[in-house]
Amino acid sequence: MNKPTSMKKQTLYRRLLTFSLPHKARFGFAFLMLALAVSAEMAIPWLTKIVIDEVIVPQQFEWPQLLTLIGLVMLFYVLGAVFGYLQAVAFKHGALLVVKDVREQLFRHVLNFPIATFDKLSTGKLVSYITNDTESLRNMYVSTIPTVIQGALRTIAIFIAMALLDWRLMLLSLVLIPILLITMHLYRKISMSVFDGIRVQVSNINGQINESLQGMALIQAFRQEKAFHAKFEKDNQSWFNFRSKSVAIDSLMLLPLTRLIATLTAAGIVAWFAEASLSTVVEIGTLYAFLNYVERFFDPFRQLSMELHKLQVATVSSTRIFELLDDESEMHHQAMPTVKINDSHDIEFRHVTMGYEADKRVLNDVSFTAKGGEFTAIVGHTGSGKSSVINLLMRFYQQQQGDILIGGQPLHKLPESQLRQLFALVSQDPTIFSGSIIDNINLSHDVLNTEKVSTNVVKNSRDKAISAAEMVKADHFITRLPDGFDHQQNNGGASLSVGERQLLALARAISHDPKIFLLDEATANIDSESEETVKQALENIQDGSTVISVAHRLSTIQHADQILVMNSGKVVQSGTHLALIEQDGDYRDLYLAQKEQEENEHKNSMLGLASASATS
Amino acid sequence: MFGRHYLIAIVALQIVALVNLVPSWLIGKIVDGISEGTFDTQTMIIHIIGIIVSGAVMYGLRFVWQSQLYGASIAITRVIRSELFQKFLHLSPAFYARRSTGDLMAHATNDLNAVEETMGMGVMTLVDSFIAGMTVILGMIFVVSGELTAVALLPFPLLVLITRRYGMKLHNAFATAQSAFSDLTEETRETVSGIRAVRSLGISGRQEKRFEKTLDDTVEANIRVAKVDASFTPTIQLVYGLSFVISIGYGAWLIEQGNITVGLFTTFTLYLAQLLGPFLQFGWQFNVFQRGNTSWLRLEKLFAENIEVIEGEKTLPKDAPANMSFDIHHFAYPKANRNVLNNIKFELPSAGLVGITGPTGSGKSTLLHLALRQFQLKKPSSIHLSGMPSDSLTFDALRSKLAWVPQKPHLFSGTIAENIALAKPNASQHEIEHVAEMADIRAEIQAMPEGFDTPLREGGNNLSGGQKQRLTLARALLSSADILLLDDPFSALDMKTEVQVRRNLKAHYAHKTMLLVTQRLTNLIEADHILVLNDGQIEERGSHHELVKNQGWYAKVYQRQSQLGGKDLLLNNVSQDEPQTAYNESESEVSHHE
Repeated sequence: MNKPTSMKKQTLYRRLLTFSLPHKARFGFAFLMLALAVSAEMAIPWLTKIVIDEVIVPQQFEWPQLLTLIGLVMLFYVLGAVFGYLQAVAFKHGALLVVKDVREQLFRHVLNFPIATFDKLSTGKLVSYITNDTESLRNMYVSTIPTVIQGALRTIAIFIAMALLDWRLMLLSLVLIPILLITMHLYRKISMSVFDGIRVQVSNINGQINESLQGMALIQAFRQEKAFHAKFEKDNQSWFNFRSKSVAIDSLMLLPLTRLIATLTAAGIVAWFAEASLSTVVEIGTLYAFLNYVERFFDPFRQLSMELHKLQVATVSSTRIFELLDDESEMHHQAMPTVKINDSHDIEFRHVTMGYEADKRVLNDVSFTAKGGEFTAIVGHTGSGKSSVINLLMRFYQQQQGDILIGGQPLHKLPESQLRQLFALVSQDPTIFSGSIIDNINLSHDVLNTEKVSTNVVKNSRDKAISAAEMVKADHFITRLPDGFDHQQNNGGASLSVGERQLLALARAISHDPKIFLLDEATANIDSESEETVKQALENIQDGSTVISVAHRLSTIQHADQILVMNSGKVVQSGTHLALIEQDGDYRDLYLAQKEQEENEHKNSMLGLASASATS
Repeated sequence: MFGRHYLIAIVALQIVALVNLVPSWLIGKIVDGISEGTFDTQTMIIHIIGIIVSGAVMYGLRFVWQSQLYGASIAITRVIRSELFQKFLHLSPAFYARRSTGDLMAHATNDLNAVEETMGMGVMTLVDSFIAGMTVILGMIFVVSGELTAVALLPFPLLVLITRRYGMKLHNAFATAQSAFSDLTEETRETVSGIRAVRSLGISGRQEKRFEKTLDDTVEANIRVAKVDASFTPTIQLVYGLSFVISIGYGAWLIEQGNITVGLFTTFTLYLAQLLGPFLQFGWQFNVFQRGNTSWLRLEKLFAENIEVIEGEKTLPKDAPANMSFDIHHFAYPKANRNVLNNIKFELPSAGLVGITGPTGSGKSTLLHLALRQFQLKKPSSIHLSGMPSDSLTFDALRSKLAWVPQKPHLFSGTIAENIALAKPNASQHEIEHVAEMADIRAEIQAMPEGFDTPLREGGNNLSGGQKQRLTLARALLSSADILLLDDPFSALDMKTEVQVRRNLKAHYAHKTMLLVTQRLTNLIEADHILVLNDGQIEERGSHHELVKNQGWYAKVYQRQSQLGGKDLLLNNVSQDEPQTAYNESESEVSHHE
């Protein structure tokens, strides 16, 4: 019954070990040093036995011989220390490199996940996979693996030495191995569920801290400090309960138990020798060496018991890491050849159907063409599928049916880099990265390698970024910041207002020089005056570039070349503003609703208005 | 608080150390018996039983001290974690603007772990190495020979010297490594949470490079730690070896002199072997204590973090009028060199509506932050609530009067109902549905398979921006606060929904006082008073009509926004250069259709 899981574990460990292959020279060196260190260590009791049996017990003190022997003991201590140091450094260094590889691989892998995967997994969890879980992998490489190997090497060396001293007693001592292994197995079995409980609680606690930190202003504004603290305490308490159990189990089964077995063994050995001494002559040195070797024999097991803890954590962590790495939903990102597309960049949706969840369609048989170089607007109520069109164009998600063509070529045939060159997205809540303002506008450029790039190029890209910012009048607020364009942003641009972030994102898009601008409610939080500026800026750069804009407010899109009206996942109307308001339909309803509202308010606002207006 | 646990643990440790002397002593006696040939079965059995009994006694006592000591360490961790969270709950937003979430998370996880380890393992090794070490040494002196002990322990000062040096090195290396890990966490978090931006900008390469650079820093810092760490055990073993070699040589000499027996010598070497543990722990505990200390200092800094906004002591009567008055001479964010607000003075009358508008970055949201006392105002600036200076009031008194809808909607994990009921956890289903109706989102929630019990994904990712915004509005409406602070609450709503929500507010919440920040001036037509902020100053103020007459920024923007309404508000001179001009004709056409 246990077979399949143990099989799985085996492959898991094998897979873990493959990560060390690129560093096998380093690990090989570490093993060699370890073997040498163990050998040096094992020679010491033997030499001591010689000292006792040949010098001390017979009381024949030949000082030159004794000093030579003592010198040898010291020499082996020195050798043991040197090899021990080299071994430890080599293992730790190797482990760090392995973890670095794993982290790099994970990070790259996660970057290529489809957006849908990010929707499923929380940010906190993903971050924890990449940082914390790999950290426990490191623990395993740094301490568990060396301990296991060291333990095995030592055990073998000890038994060889004991066999040479007294092979019958050695055979008897072999009984210890199954005893210790059974205790370890029992410990593992008992502590498994407790460890799982601890881990779950730790991740709950971390999740809660993370969430509370991000929503702190709100928690305080609504005076929910107590409620959040109480909820937190519940998990904290339950963590404590699990942890108390694990302390009890550890105290019963780890160090105290091995020490007990060690004492009993010592008693047994002494009894054996004492018994023998009644009939034959025994060598005190041999007894001493035996006691010493057996004592050393328990060390690895004691350490191994402690390592079990880490091993268990590492097992879970690596399972998670591998699950993530094996997630086959990764998009194909093998190098695709650049696709030649028509210069016009027409975007065409052909009978596209899409849903985020299998049974819920967000887009239903959507077809339209957005001509290159023109302004296409998409309007409709919340939930009508407007943003999904953008999501598909950005290839954040994949449609279930239908085709999306760009410049006559299927969108999915385009390599990633070409796609990103073509499009620039400005979303409602733009992400600001840590770094300076200029870096944030300049993102697409290789900012990190600036030293390698000639200063001219740097200056050019800087100028370009600044002029992009000026174009959307973002320079107004930027120059007011300390250090202006070199102002360092921390914590996701928390010090900038949403509107400021939107302006930055627009500047970023412009400096990116795309063929197609996708605006997803990109100006919702920008004041009307700035919005006007932005609109003009977009018009300026619009020669030749295509704009697709999702908007709630009809005022911002009335001059669009084409307006698509969406309702429940379908394009229900399309045309220019002029054409659409003449038709019966959603657009006119929307338009009239907005207009009626305005009128109501004008009436309510009484006479002041009339006098302010210049006309009727 | 945990003194008793530690005391019991220490006592148990001391007894263990004493009992631990017995087996070696008995073995020494047996050895003497063997080598002198004066040995019989009965003595042997008694001796062996002695060893077994002491083993059993030690097992029991070891269990006691381990469970007491580690029990105390996790109890302490629990308390610290709880207090840290409490501290987090009381730090002001100014603090959170400075510190990244990833960094704070690292404090609450990594650093706390290091402290836990120190309080358990660290204290254990400290006490154990001291008690066990001293006991063994006393045993060596009294059971075997003081002379031999003194000589054998000659290298001991070396041990102290070395461990201290390593300790310092490790402290520095470890601090660097911890902060490198913080950076790594933050770097990862930024990329993962901004994945859409990363993807759409095609900057995976850039992010990878940044990540790799941080990763390299982490590896480098950790290699430094590893090197110091790896040198500990071998060095100590070396010192121990020196002790061992000296005792063999000197022991042999003492036996030659006839001062000690072979059995005692065996006992001595066994004791010496027992000293290796404390020797190693002695070094290792420096290691643990350094880590714990570094982490504790980091935590302490957090605990010592000043709460920038100090709570007052006064409370308000239940029926205190819901009016506010603002008198802000100037305000700058901490560590910023520019004033965000200058000379802002206005009254927010009870049941009144004051609107605030102005260009992006003009300081509108800041005004709401100050009303909530998220930042500290400096004298002589003041904000009054019900005639009381807001900084004289308890947070509870102040904030129970205010319900805030932030510009960026934030949702917590849990169900939709729980999120709406944030400020009033015991709200009835009926109340929740009512406010959802008011925010015009009830139908949409009920259309979901699980309705109001739909669980939200992290950050409410399974809702649209407009839905999130309306949920936060519903949340504010449910709170019993008399004053609503609305920060651009309709920005993500489509026009139809916005109109509906505004109607609901007018019909059902006219008794509440409202401070409304908005870009959509149509929202302000009925406001009692409107402030137009520009660059932190009041540029215009007055009622809607007055402002429209005023022909300033407000009038200009209002006219532009109202083109849609088909009202011929456009003054010729304003609109000529506007691209929208073309559509005026179409709008008049619409009028014909009517």
